[in-house]
Amino acid sequence: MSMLALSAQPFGCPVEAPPECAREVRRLAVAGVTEMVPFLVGLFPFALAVGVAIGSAPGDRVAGWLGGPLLFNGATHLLALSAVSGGASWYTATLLVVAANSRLALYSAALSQQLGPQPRWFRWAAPYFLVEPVYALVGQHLERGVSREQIRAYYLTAGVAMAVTWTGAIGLGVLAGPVVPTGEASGMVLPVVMVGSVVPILTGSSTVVSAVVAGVAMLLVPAPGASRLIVAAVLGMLAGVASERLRR
Amino acid sequence: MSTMLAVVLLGGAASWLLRASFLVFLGPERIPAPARRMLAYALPTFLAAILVDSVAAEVSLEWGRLVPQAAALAVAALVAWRTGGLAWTLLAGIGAFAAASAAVGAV
Repeated sequence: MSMLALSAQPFGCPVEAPPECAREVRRLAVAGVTEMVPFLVGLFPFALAVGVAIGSAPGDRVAGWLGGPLLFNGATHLLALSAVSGGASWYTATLLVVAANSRLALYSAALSQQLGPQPRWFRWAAPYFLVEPVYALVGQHLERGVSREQIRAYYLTAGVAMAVTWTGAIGLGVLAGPVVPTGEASGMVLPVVMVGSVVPILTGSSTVVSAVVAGVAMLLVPAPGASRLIVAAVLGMLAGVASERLRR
Repeated sequence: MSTMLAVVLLGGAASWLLRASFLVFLGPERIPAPARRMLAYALPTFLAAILVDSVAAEVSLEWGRLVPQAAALAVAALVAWRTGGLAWTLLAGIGAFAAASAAVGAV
């Protein structure tokens, strides 16, 4: 394949596709980064805090930082760090990580229907970036209906923006400590961003029911962090299906 | 090899396998129809649960903090509903928080 043909296929637009395809793909590629920014603003202090925790914990700081790009999940990273610092064995700490990240299999299942027709290389690359902010943004675009090429570009640029910022901020936290002053407003960034992620997708009564049940369950279910999230989400999903049936 | 390095390498590999489970290995056709119907609600339920968790971690029942926090969330919800844009939601929510903090402080 010539370079000319390659250049006409940004993120895989077919050669015979109209120029609008490439234009739309480029627009979505840029949107992947810009729409990720509010999440990055909200998560930056958290990533810094993870870095500071690594810096202040006894043991291998490089291995601690590597948890950023390899585990790619703040809560799980802190869980592994505190387990190892507390003297847990490698297999106990690894089992904790697997248990805490088991919800990722549900995200994978939820996206598999829409991302199933994507090329093999994308289906192998995409899971690395499958974290809550990417799932939230990509899920919104999939619900609006976009082409395979567009969602591929969007997913990858959003995921790379997230990965680079996340691992960079953790590294900064390890090296420089809490360099960003933490005012009260910074604590509200993440809840506000989450409100902005949830409200636009509450489009039908069953969806509203599922979200409300999941939220209430998150407050009431007596289980530790990650498993509470899974239980709350499953209860919400069951409520959504039940509400759908009742309305028929 | 340090314990942390082993945990990060094994945990990282396991995390990728979990993320790839249905996207790469099993495929959507392996998901039974009732589970597929449930998964249609996965996005709102997970996000709502994470939202509640993040709010519960921050919200204070002390009046001077509760009012700005409630204002931030209410304004953010309104802007998100009207615009659907995250950047505007963030600006409006944090702006409302700052304004309400100043107002409560001035009372």
